[in-house]
Amino acid sequence: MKRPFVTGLLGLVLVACATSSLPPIRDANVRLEEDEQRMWARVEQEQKKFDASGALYRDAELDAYLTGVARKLQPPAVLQVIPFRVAVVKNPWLNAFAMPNGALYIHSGLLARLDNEAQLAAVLGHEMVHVTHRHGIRDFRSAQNKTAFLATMNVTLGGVPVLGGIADLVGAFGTTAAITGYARDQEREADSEGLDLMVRAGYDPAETLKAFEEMKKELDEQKIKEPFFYSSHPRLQERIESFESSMRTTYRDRQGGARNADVFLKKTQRAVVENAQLDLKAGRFRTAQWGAEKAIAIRPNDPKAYYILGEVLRQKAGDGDMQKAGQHYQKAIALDPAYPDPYKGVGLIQLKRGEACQAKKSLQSYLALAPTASDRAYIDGYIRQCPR
Amino acid sequence: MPAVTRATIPLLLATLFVATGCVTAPWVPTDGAYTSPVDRYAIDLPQGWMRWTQGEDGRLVVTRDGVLLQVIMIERFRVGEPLKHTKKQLARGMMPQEAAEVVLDNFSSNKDISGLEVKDNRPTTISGKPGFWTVFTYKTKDELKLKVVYCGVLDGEWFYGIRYSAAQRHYFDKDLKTFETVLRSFKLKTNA
Amino acid sequence: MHQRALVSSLLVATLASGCATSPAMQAYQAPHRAHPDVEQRARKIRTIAVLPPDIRISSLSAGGVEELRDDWSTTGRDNVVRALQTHFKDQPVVIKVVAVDPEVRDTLAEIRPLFRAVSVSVLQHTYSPNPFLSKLERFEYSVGSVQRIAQKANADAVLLSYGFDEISTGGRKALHAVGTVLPFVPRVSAGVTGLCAALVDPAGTILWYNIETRAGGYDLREPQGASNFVKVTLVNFPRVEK
Repeated sequence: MKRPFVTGLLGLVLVACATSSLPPIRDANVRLEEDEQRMWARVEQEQKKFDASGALYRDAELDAYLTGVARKLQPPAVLQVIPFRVAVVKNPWLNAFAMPNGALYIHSGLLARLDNEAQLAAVLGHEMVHVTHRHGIRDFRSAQNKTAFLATMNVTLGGVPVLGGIADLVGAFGTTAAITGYARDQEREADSEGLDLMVRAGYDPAETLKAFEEMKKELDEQKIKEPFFYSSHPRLQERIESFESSMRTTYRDRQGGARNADVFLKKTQRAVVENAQLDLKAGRFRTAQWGAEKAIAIRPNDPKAYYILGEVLRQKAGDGDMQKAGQHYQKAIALDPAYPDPYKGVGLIQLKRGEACQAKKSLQSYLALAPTASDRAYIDGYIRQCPR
Repeated sequence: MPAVTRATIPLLLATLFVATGCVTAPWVPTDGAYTSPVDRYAIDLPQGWMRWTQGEDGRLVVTRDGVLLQVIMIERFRVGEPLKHTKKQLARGMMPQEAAEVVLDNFSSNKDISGLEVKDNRPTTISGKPGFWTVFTYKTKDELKLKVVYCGVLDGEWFYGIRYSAAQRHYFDKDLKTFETVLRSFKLKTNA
Repeated sequence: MHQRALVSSLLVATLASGCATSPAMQAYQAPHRAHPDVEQRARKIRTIAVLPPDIRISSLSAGGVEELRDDWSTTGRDNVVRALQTHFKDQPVVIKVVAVDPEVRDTLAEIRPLFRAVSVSVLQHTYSPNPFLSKLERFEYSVGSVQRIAQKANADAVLLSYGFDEISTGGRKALHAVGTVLPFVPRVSAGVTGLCAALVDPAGTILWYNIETRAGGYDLREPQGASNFVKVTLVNFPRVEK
């Protein structure tokens, strides 16, 4: 007698389950579903808060350039529906993400690791597929459906403890794996379709591998364990192998293509410098040094990049570092005598060496250029250490 | 006998457990002079506040209205110990300004806070030793604006951080002088 | 440390066992919280400025997945405002709904997060099993000056509020019904409705505070549902004299 009731209940719950399969947005003929429209509206609200939070790196020229690259990857018909735009997040960790409404965000840490426009296109292309293929709403519906099924199993079998318990375990495991597997399928779709986008736009697909290699380097450097089985990203090695297989088969005849390294490096140079500063604050000295050196390679006369190199070596304080640090500060001063911070760096090194009166001259120069410096009180104290 | 209503049952049960010594009350009233049993310092806590007793990490936490509104905290790190959000470390013999920079970088590298702005950063004397006094503001994930005075001093292999954090609107100014009095009373205990 | 805990517990024991009429115990037992001077100050209130309540209404699926609905939240907010106006209709006090201009918006952006933080503190330290006796004996919290807002509305006090509602989907309702009917079956909860209200003087001092939550039975999207819930929340609101 219970069975028809249970079946009826399951039917009642599951009839409300929305389909989690939706066609990708390929042109203006698509109609956004009701819950999808609500999601977009909700995301707009959260996006406004995020954009106003101070988390973004503001550089209108850079944003325009990055948005231009993103828009090259999609046909005009798609751009009519999804107004893709790109912003940079002030964050030294490697990440990029997309909101369902087409707002794309890339961490300054990831941007700084890329070498050319093709690698950027690989990252943006992947994220854009999450949007065009409606992964956000599909994920949400999938979660609703699967948790509804699980809740139903929980309730309807709860009266039979052992069976209910096993159902709980099986249900839970299966559901979790299904949810995880579903998301992994989406990541694979984003990888393969994203690759297609960048090839169609004329970029060199081989540059995608370099983007993966940067991520792998980051994992190794930070000694982060590979995302384990339940992670939503297929393991990095699996993605690399999948890409290499595509290059041997689907794109066998599509070798070469645009990289546009020069324009990319010029446009991103300031962000690379700012990111090096974030890495320094996070105590990632090696990465900060690498970033500052990259910025100098792009623009040799960047005083801020030399200052950051000096700060890395001064704050690390290993043997011989103070001398090199001093050299970097002097280089920054030579490039821009009105830039105050390197004078402070020189003064602090001199102070540590016991050269109080030498330090006084450097620190006075610093305060003359930055009279309202927030650390003025310390500097005044150091200056007083010289009796002359 | 009090009325045993739904409202009073939790109170009565809590009383029973605490009075029999089964459980220490999570908050106890402050009582003026306080000596840290482990961390080797003494301090005068303000009257009418409450002290948290459940911390496993040895931090001293006191508040009057609730920790989101105002809190005074004292924490201790061994130099060379990793901090939570930065890989920078405090080191023996660091100048106060350098120690302040490490502390500020630890805060600014915290992903859960945004818009950190340093308002003041200067040397000060804490328990007769050279230390630092910094003031900064930031917003929490719930968009609450907080203002913080963070003072620090190095003592051999230990760093002591004494912090006053309060909601910037209304609460910060209210107890700033209270904190300054508490800070002045902070005394490091030297080895016998 | 144990000694101090014992003293604290003895204080609580005195409360609990000795004076049923002790101010702290009375305050603890009351569903609302009130400033010591509330009766005296409430008598002088003739106009209350009502700030738009922050209402968040979500749908709750069978499996517990929550979706915040902006359309429902707007409806809920409008219903609560109308319910507040109706509630005070027969009292000798005028209700003015504050229009949100840029200045009010900026102040609201500061007040709302602080009000929530105050609310968390009030819940943690005056409603929990381990309350701060000092806060029960003298309930004093503030959201900072609301003088400008009171002036704009020519009001003597301001009413702040925030609320939430969880609307169960059909599937969830079905599961909840099964759970209530069949024995030994894990219950799936119905959605929860909550409303918090505080009467605040122009200096920002909270004169009166209450928070009510109910599992099921109310729907802020419906005018009657909002009206019933506002009634429940304001049941001990201080009386204003003619």
